Amino acid sequence: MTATPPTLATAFRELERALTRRRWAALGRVVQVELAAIAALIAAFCAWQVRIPLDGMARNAGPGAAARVVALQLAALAVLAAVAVAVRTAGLLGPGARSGPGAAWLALPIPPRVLERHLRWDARRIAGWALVPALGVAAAAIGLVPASRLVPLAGTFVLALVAAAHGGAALGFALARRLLPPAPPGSRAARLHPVERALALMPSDTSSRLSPARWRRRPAWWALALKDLLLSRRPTAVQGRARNALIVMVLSALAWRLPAAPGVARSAAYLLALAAGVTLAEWLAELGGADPFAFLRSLPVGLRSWWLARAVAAALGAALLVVLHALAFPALPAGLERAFLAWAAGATFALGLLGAQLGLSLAPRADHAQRVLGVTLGVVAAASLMMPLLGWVVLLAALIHSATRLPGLMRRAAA
Amino acid sequence: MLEIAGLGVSYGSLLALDRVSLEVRGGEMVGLLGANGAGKSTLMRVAAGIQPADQGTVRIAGIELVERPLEARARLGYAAEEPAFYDELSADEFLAFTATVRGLEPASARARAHELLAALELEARAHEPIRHYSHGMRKKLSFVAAVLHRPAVLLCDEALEGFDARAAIAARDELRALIAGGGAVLFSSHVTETVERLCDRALILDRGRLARSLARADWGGPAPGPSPLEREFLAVAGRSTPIAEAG
Repeated sequence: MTATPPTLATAFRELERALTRRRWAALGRVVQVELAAIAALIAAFCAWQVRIPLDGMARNAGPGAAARVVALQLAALAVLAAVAVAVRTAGLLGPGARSGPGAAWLALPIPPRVLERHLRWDARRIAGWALVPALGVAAAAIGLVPASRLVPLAGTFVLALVAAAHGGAALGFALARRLLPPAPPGSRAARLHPVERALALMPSDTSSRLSPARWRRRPAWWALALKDLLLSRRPTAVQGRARNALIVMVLSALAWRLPAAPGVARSAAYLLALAAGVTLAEWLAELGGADPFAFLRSLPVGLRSWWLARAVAAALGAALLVVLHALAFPALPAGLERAFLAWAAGATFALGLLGAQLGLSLAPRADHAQRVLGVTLGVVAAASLMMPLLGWVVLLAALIHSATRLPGLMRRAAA
Repeated sequence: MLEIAGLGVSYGSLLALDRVSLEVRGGEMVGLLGANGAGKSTLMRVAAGIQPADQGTVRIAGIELVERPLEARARLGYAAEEPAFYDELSADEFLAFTATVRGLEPASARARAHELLAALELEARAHEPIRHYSHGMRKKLSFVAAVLHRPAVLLCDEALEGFDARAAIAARDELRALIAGGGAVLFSSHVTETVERLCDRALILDRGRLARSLARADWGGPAPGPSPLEREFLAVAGRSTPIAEAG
């Protein structure tokens, strides 16, 4: 690859620095502190989970074996980071990609390889999250693995993470290129750089007619809920989240029919039902970013209508999951069946409501809501593993906390 | 109808509004003029309840906006300078949603929406997603949503900017109909000519302060209705119906 012209290289370096600063600043002080605290908690949880088995290994097999385990765990984190970057890169440039400025880049006099470098940079940033569990692993190894081995391991991990991020971006680009529809030989499209073709193929505004609206008298919350459903059927980020929730719900019910031992099927159904609750929460959090804040603030709609519309959606999601599982159940003892359904309904509703409340309290920043939801659920999962029922306590606390922030939606300025 | 008293807003050290007080009575259209950055849009956003004020009060049809926001907003229409929509909905769906949330009678709301869309030449595109709309079309839709419920108080922030001549005339007719029905309109613009043609009074905002208040008699003409240039445009466009008020 030839070098980027110095002026462009400088401009993009400045842009990337500014973007990093702006995105961090856009989180706001409270979310920054919350994210830092949750990252610290996750690192501490990883350290706790790794420390005990590592201690046993160091005692039984010696520090060398413990060092090898730490190296393997760090390598696994680097591989996971590479996969995440590859998926993100393919998502940025693959068919149907909607993120980023898209085809607008093509209006600028920028060589495609420079654009490619910038897009790779954007995709690679996600790899940084691997540092959080890696810190936990490294902290767990202190005192069990000699510093003379641990320090080089940490250094090697950082280099491996950088390499994995670059490798993941390259893999994602290769994948995105393969997914591009073939251009007719000799056509102008065939002569374009793959990045230019990918950007040019991003969805453009083409005319399409929608079916007539239904003009009916309904309460405000009902209109809001129907509007949410309508948005979930249109090509938006909300649609993707809704689709994910439905797919995972169906999969979780089908898990009961797995041709496996009953215990395995039950565990799969349990875990997938939890995942369905999480995807439901993600959908409801995403809806918070879909509302045109300035317009809605001028309407006579109160917080109660907003909350009710989203709470009803969470309840309906939980009900759908319960119905699917009830239909898919094999012959289980009635007590076990009822207990599972009650647990699934409660957990899914609570998770959905948490997503809805975070979406509303952080509106219109759905990305913030998703991030806070993700880290909160990470803490809930960690708490569940630490002590039975502690996860429920944390989830309830998160629900109450997000509910107290709801009035902010009504106070917030559009700016 | 619209009473604003002692409104103050600052952005850090910048004083955007400095104890602004004004009143727009029922059956009156008041123009709000000012240079870019004079505070017009801030005043409109605060009056619409979108942005909180540091001090002062806003009363919509006698209802205090901060104390009883839902009741006040039910009587308010707001056509924003930069309108925001659900871009994946069609104009038809968006207006149906707006009408439902405002508790309007569905059949008459639908008839009025289609009448307004037709008048603003938006009806043919009413079933397309809003994301396909041009800037002017978005402004027209914002205007329709703002007047759909015949509000007691209408706030128009650069509302006719981006309208073609025919749509601008139809929008002015709609504004006059609102006034004739006893409504109050506060019309913000940086184009003096629009205010001259439309408004009964004009207020001039300068660096956050109300610098001057003028009555129509203070500036005289021009007469309401299409300007000579607009009439030429309509003649060339060849789509116009006779406009009775041409003056």
